[in-house]
Amino acid sequence: MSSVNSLLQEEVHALYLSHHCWLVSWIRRRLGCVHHSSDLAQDTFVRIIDRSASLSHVLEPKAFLSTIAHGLMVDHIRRKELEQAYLQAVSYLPQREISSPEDRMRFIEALMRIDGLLDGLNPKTRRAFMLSRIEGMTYPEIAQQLSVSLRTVETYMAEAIRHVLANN
Amino acid sequence: MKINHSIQPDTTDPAEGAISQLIYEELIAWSVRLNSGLATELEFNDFKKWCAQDPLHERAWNKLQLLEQNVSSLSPESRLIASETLGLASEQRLVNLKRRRTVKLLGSAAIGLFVTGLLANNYGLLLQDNYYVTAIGKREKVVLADGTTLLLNTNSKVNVKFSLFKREIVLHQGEIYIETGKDNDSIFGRRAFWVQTEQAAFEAIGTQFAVNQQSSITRLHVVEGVVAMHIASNPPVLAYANDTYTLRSDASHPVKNDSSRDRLNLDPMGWVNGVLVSKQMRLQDFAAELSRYQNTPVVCEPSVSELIVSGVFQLDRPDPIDHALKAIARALPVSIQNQGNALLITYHKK
Repeated sequence: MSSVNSLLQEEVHALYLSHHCWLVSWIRRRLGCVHHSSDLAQDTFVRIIDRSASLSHVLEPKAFLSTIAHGLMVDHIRRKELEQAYLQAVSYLPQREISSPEDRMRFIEALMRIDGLLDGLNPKTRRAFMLSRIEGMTYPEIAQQLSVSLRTVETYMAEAIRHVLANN
Repeated sequence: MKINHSIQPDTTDPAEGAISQLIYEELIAWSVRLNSGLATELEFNDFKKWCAQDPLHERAWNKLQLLEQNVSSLSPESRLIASETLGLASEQRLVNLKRRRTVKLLGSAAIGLFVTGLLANNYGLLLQDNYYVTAIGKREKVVLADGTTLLLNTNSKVNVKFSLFKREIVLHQGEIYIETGKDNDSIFGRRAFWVQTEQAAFEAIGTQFAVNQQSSITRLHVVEGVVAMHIASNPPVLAYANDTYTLRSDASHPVKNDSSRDRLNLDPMGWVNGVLVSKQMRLQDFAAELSRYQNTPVVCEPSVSELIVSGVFQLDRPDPIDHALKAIARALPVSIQNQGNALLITYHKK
């Protein structure tokens, strides 16, 4: 344990003591469930430990904590959306169901990352990108599928790659 | 959600700051070409030369590869379901967005409004204690003091009770759709928001949801956000966007309606957009739904009660129920008879 790490630990510990309770209520008021709120509050502090070098820059602890917690809640809701979409997809493609729960979890994690990569893209651009990368279609095939010109598909693909590079 | 249009340098790698916008644009052009399915071996070789020209070219390519790996690492067997899942999630988000935009301003007609001034209760002084009532066949929109939008469907009655610490809507009967307001003007910060029905209490923050109270059943449909369902002293159950739940007096926990069982055959949000949307609905159930919108009940003979109705029926038009029944009479082997105190649907061979 270097001295930098133990300083961070002290700072986080102090933050926890003074604001953990407040954070749990803040989250609960938005989520409506005590059980999930404690979990998310814990996750918030874990994320701080994982991601921060030091907390000396933090002037407003409540704003700092609530911003991170909000991000985690958005992730949580996104994950629920994907899980629900997965269940619906399985109802259309029952033979493609992922049987092992661990594999399913890893699958959803992978989709979360892809979803994050493409967040903000127009639906058509997103669709074109997925047809190319996930389904391995050629651009002429995509053009036919989406009823657009080849030129348009090329534009979509450029937009998608530019977006992926610029936002990650 | 940040949308950048110029590519920001990776701040953890100082050398990468040197990758110019021009290099990225060249890389994008290469990537577009090489993934087209039309690129020749010559073009692939030219690309290798471009990478070798400058270590920054190679670096930019590696950055892109790393990001693309998120997709390329999907196993071949899981690709189809991945594509379908991502597509469905994306579609659903669009639907949610459209719904928010198209909640229409409903025509105004008589609203029963009884204001009873300040009343003392458990939660301190009631700042607002108003009743809103809609007549049969009428729908109304109300904007409350905290910014909440409240839509009432046919034949509904609510009591809006706002106190210093809590916002509560008591749904006595009928159906409502709510978009909770931010409550910016409240003295003690954003107050909790509750909807009380016979079967349960719902707590919501920053959400859009519909609640339907009929005889001994409450139905909840969440459009956006999260609603906690409290029944008696049981731990609350969370409902998320697109969930529909049925709560009955004789059941201690809410039942989620999903596609495999207990299918909700009537779109819970149709009325908000001025339509009734039935999907494979039993004629008897559909008739019961139509009856809510007019004084004369619509009844089915047993011989036709199991016929299936699917379709979209306009509510925002003159004589909507009449029109819907005419459409049914054209599509199904039935005829409608006016018995004076009821409209009877009977079997009629076509």
